[in-house]
Amino acid sequence: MSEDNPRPEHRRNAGKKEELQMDMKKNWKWPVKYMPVFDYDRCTRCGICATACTWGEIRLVPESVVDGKPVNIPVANRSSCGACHYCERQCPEEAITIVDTPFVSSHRYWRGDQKNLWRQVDPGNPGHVLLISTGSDSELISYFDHLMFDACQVTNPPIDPLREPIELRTYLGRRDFFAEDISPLLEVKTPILFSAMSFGSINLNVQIAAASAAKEVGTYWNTGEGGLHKALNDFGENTIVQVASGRFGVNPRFFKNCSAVEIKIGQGAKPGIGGHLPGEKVTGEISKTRMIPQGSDALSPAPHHDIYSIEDLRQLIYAIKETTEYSKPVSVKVSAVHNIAPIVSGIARAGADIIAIDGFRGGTGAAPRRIRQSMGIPIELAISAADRRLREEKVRHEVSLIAAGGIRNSADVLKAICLGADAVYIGTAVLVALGCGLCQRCYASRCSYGITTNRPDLAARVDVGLATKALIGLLQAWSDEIKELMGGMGINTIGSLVGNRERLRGVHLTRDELEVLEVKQAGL
Amino acid sequence: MCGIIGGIDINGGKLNGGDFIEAISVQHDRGNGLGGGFAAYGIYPEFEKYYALHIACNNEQAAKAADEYIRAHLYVKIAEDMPTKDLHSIQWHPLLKRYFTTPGPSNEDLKLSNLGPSTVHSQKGIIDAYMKKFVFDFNRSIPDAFVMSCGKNMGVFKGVGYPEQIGEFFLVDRIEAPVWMVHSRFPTNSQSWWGGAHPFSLLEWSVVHNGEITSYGVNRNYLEMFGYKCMLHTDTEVISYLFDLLVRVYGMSVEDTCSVISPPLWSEIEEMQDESSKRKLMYLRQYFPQALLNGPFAILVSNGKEIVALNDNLKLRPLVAAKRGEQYFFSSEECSFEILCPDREKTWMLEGGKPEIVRMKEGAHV
Repeated sequence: MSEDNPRPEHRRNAGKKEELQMDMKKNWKWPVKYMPVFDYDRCTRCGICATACTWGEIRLVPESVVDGKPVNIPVANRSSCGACHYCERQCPEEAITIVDTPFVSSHRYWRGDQKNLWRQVDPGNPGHVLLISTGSDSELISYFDHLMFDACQVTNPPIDPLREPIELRTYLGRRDFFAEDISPLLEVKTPILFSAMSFGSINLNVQIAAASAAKEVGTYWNTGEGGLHKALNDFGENTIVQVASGRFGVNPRFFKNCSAVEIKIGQGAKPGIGGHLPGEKVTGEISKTRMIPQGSDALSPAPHHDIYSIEDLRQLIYAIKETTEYSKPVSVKVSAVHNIAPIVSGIARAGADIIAIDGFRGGTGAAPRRIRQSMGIPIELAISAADRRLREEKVRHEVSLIAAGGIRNSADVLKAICLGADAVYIGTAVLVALGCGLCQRCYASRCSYGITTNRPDLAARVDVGLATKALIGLLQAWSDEIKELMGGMGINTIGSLVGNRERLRGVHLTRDELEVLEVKQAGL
Repeated sequence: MCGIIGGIDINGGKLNGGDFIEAISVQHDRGNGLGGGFAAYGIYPEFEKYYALHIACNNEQAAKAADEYIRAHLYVKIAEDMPTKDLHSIQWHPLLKRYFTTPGPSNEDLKLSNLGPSTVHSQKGIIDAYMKKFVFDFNRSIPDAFVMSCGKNMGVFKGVGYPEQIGEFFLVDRIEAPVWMVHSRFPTNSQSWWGGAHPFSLLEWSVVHNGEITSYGVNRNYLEMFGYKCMLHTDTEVISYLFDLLVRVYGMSVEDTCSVISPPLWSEIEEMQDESSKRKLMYLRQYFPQALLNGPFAILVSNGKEIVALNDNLKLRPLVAAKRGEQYFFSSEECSFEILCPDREKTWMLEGGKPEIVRMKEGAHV
């Protein structure tokens, strides 16, 4: 170490006993959970990691001077790493490893909540509601993991998707055989749609990539509640626009350049909670697209101010149908809550053509931590209960159901379909496909990957071309996997799996759980 | 694996049951002795206005309950034991009864509001809807008895055994009929019992089926919305209910019903030149995805006026057809034609997903 380099603070203080005073502020210090560890033998001191990190975890410390230029060494601040792994991935020498240093408390029951409480009461910023992003990481069981598919043996030949066609195409919308007019239907080439993520929560680069991939594969992307940016006008045939309680960007252009309109009542991560995009994020393009003044807070109230019960929803559905001259299906998105079955039945009778149910694992740009972790129910149970209720009320074949919230892979997609969904929405999977490290800090708006931020320098980290390719890859890979699964089950069209519990069996579930899922115990 | 045979004389001429017993016996390996059966049309001309109920009861008690139930809900013209012959090979059989009935005795029963969830749209449909509901209620109310068939001027003879034994047991060789449906069973996904043997029948529809319906869960959920109850522990019953729903209730043609049940691929529909049939097939596939049958199957469906032969669109089960003069035959294996119509002029293999529909001539009396 060179002489110019100042000695670390703690060594300078060594031996000066009279100065050793305790600092109560440190009682609330956020314990280090993750941190980058640098392999200084590999490190070339290029400094890219400090630029890559948007969280202020890495600082560069002068190490030496070579040819008159200072050489800096990266050091972890041990303060703000959230394990997004962006620096680790960007390091050209692979000199960084993110380590998990679990905070150890002797009290097992309190372990997780202890540090959250410290953060809430820290006198530096006391009394605040904890915010969090993405879907719940709760340790509740995933029902998807306890469901197994059937396969053909002997009595029934499996189908090889390489030799025989397996069809994933499906249609979403209202089907009434006795109606005079044929209702508009959405043609979906693969039963996977991109879930609502607004311009504001993500940036335009990501939306363009999602729209382009949806167009290429023949599915849909959803604008979320932030309106439709002009640059996306041409993707109308693959666009679902969303009308939420803030009514941002709802104008004639918005209704013209879309295939379907979705009314957002709730979101799985935060049922019963509105949204709040702080004024500083409402910059030029976002302000124009949302049709609100620059710098003003974009508030989405918890309820729609014109919907206080089901009859009001019916009026909004028909107001939208009138506006679009009955040429576009209207979808209603609700959170999966305890009473989901009668709610869905009411929505079907209120005139919705498609009903999207978002389970508690569904993602969010920002939600109170307590809401995300403890409100709502799993999508597997909700979709099954909704499907059953619609059948009992003899209207299941007339409307379409979309399952959302916690779909991680192609098997989850197919299990959701077997439990009664016509198709699924994926959101978090889209972000992960773009590289997202799931650090759960989208609300901070400084996503190091440039996905959930509108800071121009960071948004530029998303290359639209590469992102589009990745999302097409996601849809194609999952579609191929779904075909393999279907082939094994001897089914060659996706419609024959919608609500087909016969092709599922449950493992390690209670009788009540099996009953709600309408799935038989494995072995029966 | 199962074996199926169908035969029709489009002039209404009679075909002998004995020939069909022999024809199915040469497909012996397609069955395993756990089920066989025959459906014959035009066999009760003297009672053609009455619904002929073929009832099987596991014991005397059930037979008594069944009798009371039938008399409480229907007017009974004739009640009798089915003629059968004692055989060593059939060690046990249920009590078999035959009723010629018509709805009544109370008009209350026929009120639409009492028909339960149904989709009756015409006065004409009410009586059929009532009979359908009667059958499901009967099967549910009397667990030890079930209705084998309930159509007019037709009947199903079926049970556990090889079909040649069942045929002999029911004296099928003494029956002459213009339309025959025959089945030999090798059950693979459900237990064997007398009610589980084929043909399956509801009102005038009967079905014989070789295959496995992998879309069964979807089809059952769909049918149950319209008041059908799937209680016979086998996938085949959904086929007869689908035909009943689509043809009788929705008023669709048999051709369109086949397009719903085994439609062309989306890509095939898109390549079609004829715009109107393309639009129609699109519509049928978009509107009735739950009525599509998936999995390998060869089925014969009849209502006494026509036989519909249909394969899954991948053609995963055998089905071959033959023509002799005005008579048409369908079979899982060509060997049966050597018995039924050795002098046939034409034999051909059905294509996957392409139905073959043979109709009685106008005016031909069944």
